Amino acid sequence: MTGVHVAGVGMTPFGKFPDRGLEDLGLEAVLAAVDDAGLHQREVQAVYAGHARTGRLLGRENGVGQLVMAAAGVRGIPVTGVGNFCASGSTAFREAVMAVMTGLYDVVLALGVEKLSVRPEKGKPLTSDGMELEGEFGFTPPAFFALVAQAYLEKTGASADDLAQVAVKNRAHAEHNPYAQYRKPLTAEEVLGSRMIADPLTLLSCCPTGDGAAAALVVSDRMARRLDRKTVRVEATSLLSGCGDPTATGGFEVDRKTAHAAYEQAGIDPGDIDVAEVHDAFTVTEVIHYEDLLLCPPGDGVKALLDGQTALGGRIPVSTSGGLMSKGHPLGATGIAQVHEIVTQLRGEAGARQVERATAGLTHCAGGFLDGDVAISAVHLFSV
Amino acid sequence: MKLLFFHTDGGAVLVHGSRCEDCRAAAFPARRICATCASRNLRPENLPARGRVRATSRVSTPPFGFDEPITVGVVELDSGPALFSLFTEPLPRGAAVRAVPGPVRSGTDGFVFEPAKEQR
Ligand SMILES: [Zn+2]
Repeated sequence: MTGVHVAGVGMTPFGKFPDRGLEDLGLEAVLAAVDDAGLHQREVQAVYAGHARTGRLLGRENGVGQLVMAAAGVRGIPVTGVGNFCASGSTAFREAVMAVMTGLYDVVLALGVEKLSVRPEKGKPLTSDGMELEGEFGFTPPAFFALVAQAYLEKTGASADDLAQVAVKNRAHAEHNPYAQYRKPLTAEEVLGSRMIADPLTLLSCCPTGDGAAAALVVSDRMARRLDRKTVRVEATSLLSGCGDPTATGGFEVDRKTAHAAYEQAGIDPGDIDVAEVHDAFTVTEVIHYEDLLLCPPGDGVKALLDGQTALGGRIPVSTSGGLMSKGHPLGATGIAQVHEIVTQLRGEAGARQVERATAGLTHCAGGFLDGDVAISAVHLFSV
Repeated sequence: MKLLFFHTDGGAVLVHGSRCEDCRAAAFPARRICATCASRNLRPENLPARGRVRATSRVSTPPFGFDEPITVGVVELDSGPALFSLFTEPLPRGAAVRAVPGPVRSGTDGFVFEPAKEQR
């Protein structure tokens, strides 16, 4: 088996772009990624394209990858659509990694694209696929994570004030990321004083939606040697379906198992991770993820946050891109935008948000709901 | 419009679930394969909609189909399964609750959990 490397990344800024189509957004990310790698788009041998809501919102349930690649002048190659809720992009990336790992291809593109600004229920929480039964009783993602937050706060004795610091920290990071949708600093008072969505989560405790695209070019050892670009090695790809009961436990068992499998696959100790992008869809989830991904000891999530361990300059900076909290969450693009940030960090190209001497990084994205749990967890590990 | 997976009996709400004949685990919604032991030997069973609060949350920004703020939460039914549902008010963990008929999304006839009067 060959090693797998990220040779190039590209993304659009995330934001609300009512006048831009999927094709246009996706094309920008694809061209940026191939240019970054110093390759031509016609050298791409296969494509995996993640998108989650394009069917419901834009009448294009399938074929987004083909659309974008055709716009790039590339036809007649295998292009596969990947839908996996919020982790659609992470899953497309995983498929690209596996396609290279098996030796089938030397150059595979992972693309994620989403456009949520067209949704009709603006101002209401984004809904989730397949929650018809729970939907009858008012289920929404923020309501579910509010219940998880209640369990976590009760278990740890932490407060809503503590959780607000996630939004403050991530926004401070976003100031230095030109791709982030919201870059103006936030105070805890603003977070706590914003409109209540589902107690204890206020509007600014929830990530915004958004439009955008991100792409990563995944290559084999052979191709990596041929390129001038500094490549980043993919050390592990791990993905599992939901298997826990987070409103009972205040944690995500599936994330613990997914992360454990990733560390094992890579032979990397969690303590060696220098920088991480996690699924901070809500303030509370970022703190829980510190614990489940073993970035801090169990029960110490809030301590890690309040001590500044997860802020830039801390022991293990998390969400240096500003996270979903500041970038927004164009579902299919999110997971690959996380890869974009970690690759940028490990290449030492993150400018004012650079984590010094970062040599190992982690991305984590969860998604969807099933039977009282999230439906998916995806963890990837990287090193230089 | 009425939800199809419950009925009332003398004012008490029963939800249409199932029970595993091998490990006795109850489930709601009804299952064909047991989530606990993977047995195929399951039977339909109506489960009393009574139990204890796991957590509730006041939802000030309700989704489509609800005009007013709502309280949602998870109840652990006495028979075992945990169920996401509507509540009449925010309640602490462990509070005894029972379902009573009431409107759900878009005014559909369903049920809502309220504090249970007597302690069991
Ligand atoms: Zn059983």
